Amino acid sequence: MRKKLRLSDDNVQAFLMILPFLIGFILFSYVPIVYILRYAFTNYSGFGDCKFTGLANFVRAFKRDPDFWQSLLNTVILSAGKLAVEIPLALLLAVLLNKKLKGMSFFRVTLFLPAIISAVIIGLIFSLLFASHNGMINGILANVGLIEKPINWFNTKWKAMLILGIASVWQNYGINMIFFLMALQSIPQELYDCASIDGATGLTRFFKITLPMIAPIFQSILLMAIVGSLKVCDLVISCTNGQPGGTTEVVMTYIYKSFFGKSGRNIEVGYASAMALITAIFLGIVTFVYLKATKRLKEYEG
Amino acid sequence: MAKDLDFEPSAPKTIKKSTGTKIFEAVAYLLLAAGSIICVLPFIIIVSGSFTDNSTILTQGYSLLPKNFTFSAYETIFRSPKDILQAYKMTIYYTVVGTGLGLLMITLTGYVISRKEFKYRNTVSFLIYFTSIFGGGMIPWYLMYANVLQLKGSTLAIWFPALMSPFLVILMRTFIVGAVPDAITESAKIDGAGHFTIFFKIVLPVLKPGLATVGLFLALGYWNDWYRSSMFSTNSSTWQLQFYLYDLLNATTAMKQMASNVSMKTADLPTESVKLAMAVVATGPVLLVYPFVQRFFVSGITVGAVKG
Repeated sequence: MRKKLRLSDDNVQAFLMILPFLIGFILFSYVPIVYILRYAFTNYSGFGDCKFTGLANFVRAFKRDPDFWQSLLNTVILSAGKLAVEIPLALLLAVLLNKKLKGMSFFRVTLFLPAIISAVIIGLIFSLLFASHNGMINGILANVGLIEKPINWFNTKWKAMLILGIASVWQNYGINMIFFLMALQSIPQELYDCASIDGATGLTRFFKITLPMIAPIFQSILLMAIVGSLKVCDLVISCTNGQPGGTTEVVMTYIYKSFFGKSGRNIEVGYASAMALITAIFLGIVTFVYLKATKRLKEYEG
Repeated sequence: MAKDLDFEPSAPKTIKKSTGTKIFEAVAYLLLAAGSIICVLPFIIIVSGSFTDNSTILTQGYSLLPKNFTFSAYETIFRSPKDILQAYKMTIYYTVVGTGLGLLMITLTGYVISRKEFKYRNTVSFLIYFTSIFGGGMIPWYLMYANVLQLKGSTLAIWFPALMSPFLVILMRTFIVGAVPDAITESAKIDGAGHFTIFFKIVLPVLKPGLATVGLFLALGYWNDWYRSSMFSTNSSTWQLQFYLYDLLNATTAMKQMASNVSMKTADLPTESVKLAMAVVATGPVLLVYPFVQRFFVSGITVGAVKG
């Protein structure tokens, strides 16, 4: 016998509350995955014919498209490099901001500032700062006497990647800093008081109390930062747009361009879907390995 | 900007400090000040450049204070402000509608998955977590909007996608767990309160920090987004402000359009300073509102976190 559904029933109320979100979410996050799966095995070009081609797209990606793998490698290098700077920097600044000193509210405002502007403007800022003939960085370097003639920052792959990395750190460290700050403020002050009585000082307290206490949150922050930077797209488009010569393309911009036929490429919905699928599986593997590897961090939570 | 906040580094302290603490504090201030300069400087350069004569920028580069001060870039932009005002109007519309609806949906969902007694809590949470990691980027939902629902060109396609942010739901859940102890909701339940009553009478009134934080993220996301316009707009009247700026920076067509609007030759247009002035115009509202919102936002973090 079925129970009658009633508005007073708790589960019914709960479902009513999540219904709008859930419908939208399933419609726009799960149903599209079906479409990706469908197109990935076809030669669909956006209009006209859509012929099933089996594994042809995957064979092409694995065997005949070194640029795709190069873009994936670029993404990994860029992410690893920028996170190695960004995460410690965010944690350091959060620890400093968490000290109850005068003027901290002012520094919170200024230090979070880069996080509130759009990628378009960040692209503009970095192209101005690093412009070759009238850019500020070249001007400073020349004034200090470090360089004799202006450096063209965007004409080789590694220089352009370096600037992408700096721009990306500048854009993203603020949000991680705020999350670290939230984590730090949840540590009870008594722990530090006890430690002081036992004679623990600065660094000892940081490694013995602060880090273990924020370890579980640290794990989540780092996971979000890793996934976020592997998915980077608009910052690269507005900063270098893959230049010089497509060498700073990241995986999302590479897929984006073949999907929409930007930068002189053909529109290849089928092939782009296949690459998106490969990338999604790659992200899944990275996340899985990360979660396994950091399991011990979670256990601190006790 | 936020220069006039309470900043008194040299205020006298009553407690005597050890030398070690003093050195630590000095280093802390030094690092924070250096960081702040790196964060604020680019803004100053842009504002200063937007008031600088175009040929001065081309020959002498950018500076902290405008050399050869002029309003000409702003005059050029606002001599024919129709396009900008339209982009402004649309962006405000997207931001208000998106932030309002988004907050409602995200808060309700965050509340439900924070309730331990909800039977399907783990299933729903997993559904939400899973896409935040495994999602295939923007291509899947582009296909959904453009090919399946035929929404290309509609404004719905621009504000709707960002409502379903898994990340913000998870963040909101954290705030709710921190702000409302289980004991309170449980005693409300014993008194016969349903989810709706608990949500509106108990959770919502103490959720200001969470609402401010998630609301700020939502609003910033809407204000700063530009590539949804590049994907879905078929007509420049639905453009987001940032896409208008992107177009101006990257496509010569936009500059030509602006030149013809103000009846000038493209070559005579003060292109460099116009770009900077546009950046100021597009970011201005955020910079003006942010110092006020962040007070909630920062105090919110403290309140929420202490209890969590």
